[in-house]
Order: sequence, then C-alpha cells, then structure tokens
Amino acid sequence: MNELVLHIESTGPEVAARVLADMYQNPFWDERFGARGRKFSAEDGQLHVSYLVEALVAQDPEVLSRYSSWLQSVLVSRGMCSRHLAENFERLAGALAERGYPGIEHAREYLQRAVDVLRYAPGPARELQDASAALIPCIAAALCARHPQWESHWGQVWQERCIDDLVYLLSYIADAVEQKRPELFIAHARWLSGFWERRGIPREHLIDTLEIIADEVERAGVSAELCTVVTLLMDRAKDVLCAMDPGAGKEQEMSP
Amino acid sequence: MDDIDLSVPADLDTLRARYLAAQLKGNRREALRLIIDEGVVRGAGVPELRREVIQEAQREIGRLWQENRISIAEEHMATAISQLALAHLYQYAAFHPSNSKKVIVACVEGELHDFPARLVADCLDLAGFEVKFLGASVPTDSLLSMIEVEKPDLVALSVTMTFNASALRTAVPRIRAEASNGLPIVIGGHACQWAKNLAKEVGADGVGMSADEMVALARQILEV
Repeated sequence: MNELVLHIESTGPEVAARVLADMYQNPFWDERFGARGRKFSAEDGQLHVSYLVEALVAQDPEVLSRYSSWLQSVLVSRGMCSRHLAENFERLAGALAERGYPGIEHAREYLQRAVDVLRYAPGPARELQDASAALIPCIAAALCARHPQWESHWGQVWQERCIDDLVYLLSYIADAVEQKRPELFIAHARWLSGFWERRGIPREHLIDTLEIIADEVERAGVSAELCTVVTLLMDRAKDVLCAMDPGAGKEQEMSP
Repeated sequence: MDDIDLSVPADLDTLRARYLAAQLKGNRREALRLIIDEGVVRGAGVPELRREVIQEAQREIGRLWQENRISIAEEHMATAISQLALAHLYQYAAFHPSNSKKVIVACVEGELHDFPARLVADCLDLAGFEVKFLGASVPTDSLLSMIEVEKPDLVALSVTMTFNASALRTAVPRIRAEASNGLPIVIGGHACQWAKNLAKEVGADGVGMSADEMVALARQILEV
C-alpha cells in the first residue's frame, strides 16, 4: 500500500489535471460556472486525490466515502448534481488505472465506494436514482416519438446527447427531492434552457422533456410519493420556464 | 441590565436561536449582549453558554455554508463573532486553581480552522492548566521550537480537514524524536471523526472529540 500511496502522491497533481481537462471537454462547465468554477474544480480535483491518499494511508475507505458524502451536499447546493461528482471519481479511477500502479485495485475499490455512497438512503430520491437507468430510454423514446423531427434535424448525435442530458436531469431531480429544495432543480432548469437555446435547441424542447419525465415516472410504477413529488417539481419548473423572458438563463457562478 | 428580568432563567435554546440570528446579521454588539446579559447575568454557566449556544451556533453556521445558504464571507463573519464572544465569556468564567501543568495547543501546519482548538485552549485554561495557544497552521519547525522553550507537560494538536492529517503524521514523529522524552501528545478535531484510526496510526496518546473530552484526557494523562 505504501508504494501505491507514494505513486499517487507523486503523480496526483498531473492526474487531477488530466481529469479536469477531460471534464472540461463538456462546454457545460465553462458556461455554467466560468473561470471561478474552473479554479474551484481544479482545487476539488486535488482534494479528491488528497482524500484518496488519506484513505489509503489509513487503509480505511470510509475516509474517502465520508468526504464524498459531505461533498455531495456541498456541490448539489451549488449548481451541480450527484452524477457530476460520481463521474469525477470514475475519471480519477480510470486515470490512475491507466498508470498501472501495483495495488491500484485498492484505489479503484475506494473510489467505487465513494461513488456508491452518493446513492441516497431509502426514500423517493433513492427510488428515482435506482429507477433512472430504466427510465432514461423510455423518456428518450417518448421524446423521439413526440418530436421525430428533432432526430432528423440534429442527427445521431441528438440521441446520444439526449441520453446524457437525461442522466444529469434525473440526477438533478433526485438531488432536489432529497434536499427538499425544489429551487435547486428549478435554477438548473432555468439555466439549462438558456444553454440549449444558445445551441439552437428551443425552450419547448426542455419543457416537453420535463413533461415526459413526469409522464414516464408515473408510468414506471414508482411509489405514489415519488410520482407526486416529481410531478409537482416538473410542473413548477415548466411554469418558470414558460414565464421566462427570451434569452434568460445565463451563466451562474458557484457561490463561494 | 435594568431591563433584564433576573427572575427568568436563561433559556439556552431560545438564546442560541437569537445569538445565531445576530451572528448572521453581523451584529457583534447584539451577539455579545445576548451572551452576557441574557446568558451570564441570567445565571447560565459559562461552560453551558460555550457548548450549548456558541458551539451549537457554529455547527449551524457550518451547515448553512454547506447547504449554500450563506457565503464563505458570512461564515467568516459569524465565526469572528464567536471568537469575540468566547473572549468576552472568558472573563466571567470560574477558574479552577492552577494544577501547575502546562499544555501547548496548536493547529497542525496548514490547518486554518482554529476555532475548535481555541475552545480546547479556553477549557483547559479554565480547568487550571497553563495553556500556550498557538493558533492556526503552526509550522512544525516553529512548534518544535516552542516545545523546546516552553517545556510543556502535554501537547494537543488540532486537525479539522482530513487532508491536513499528513502534517500530523509529520509533526508527531518529529516531536517524539526531537522534543523531551515521553512528552504526551493528544490530538483532536473533525479529521479524527472522518479518519477514526488517526490517533493510533500516528501514535498519539489519546484523542479528544470535544473540548470537554480533551480536558478529561489531559487530567487523566497528567494525573491531575
């Protein structure tokens, strides 16, 4: 384990920088959080490595898991979703695995546990997290059926981007449900509508998406509690989007 | 003071809520007035005010920042008020007689969160220990110099952020190697909750998870 720790410590900054570069290939990050967000993301990346090292030194994966759980509540209240954090841990695991350090399976195990703790305790948010994998293709298919012209207009890449967008949307919804803070999702929906509009995707696309999410959640046979909370949240978000001025929904920086 | 109804004892839950509200508004005078006039003068003990009002309010401040309900500037402002409140409470506290034992309390190098260590220092002071409080982020070399000069009976090191545990892993062995033989070292801070085996791992003589626990630990180790 000591050798692994030494390897990770010595290459940590480089690995964290590589993970950051991968993350920022998605224009979402610069547009949503700007230069300040990039600075915080870089710092967080280094912290992920530091906490992984601490966990390995202590031979206690809970050190990283506790950090993950704490960070989840910090980040989802600042415009990100749990899936973003999970991806960063997964990228870090991948970047470290590529280096082939002896004992790297320990680091991967610890990082996987850090991802696992991002699943909420039993309740409507957890139910949505668990149902997301099955829901997403149904939502995508329903969107395509309602608007066949979108796929023909934007091509195959639309399907892929649609799936990605739905992964994050459902994560944002689960986070808002767990935190009992609908405003977290509504703020994201507001911003997202502007982000999509700047890419030629009309606001109606997002409004329809939210409507179909509520329909598919209801169709999925989930608990009445989840169904109700998602329907109410989607209705509120749609109302906000419908009332927005054209061109609204610009960059939102993370609060300090 | 004329307006304070001394027949009504201090209600710490209400006091905490009002204190927190004053903190969040940055109202130093009101925060201090509440602690002294509504707390001390109404018969609340200093340890209870420290623990049930100031410390609990700080936990709430931390939670509010975590949930992005207050900014880091607001958190710093609120914490500065609590530092001031602790200083004012100090003069109302009943000191135990000196036990002639000296303790150095310090945050490890890189650790900027000194409020928990400050609480420990105050509690040890009131318990009769002679305390040298070194504050935040004490370079290990400087800590060793201080130990050499002050010749304490105990060193208490604080680490809040787990990523500063590496500084603890540096400091403890160096103290063992370079300072007086057998000098007991205890640790505390939030990092000890996240890394539960930290005390054992660094070879500390004990871990205190609260200021009161640290006082009990110091008394036990130093047999006073």
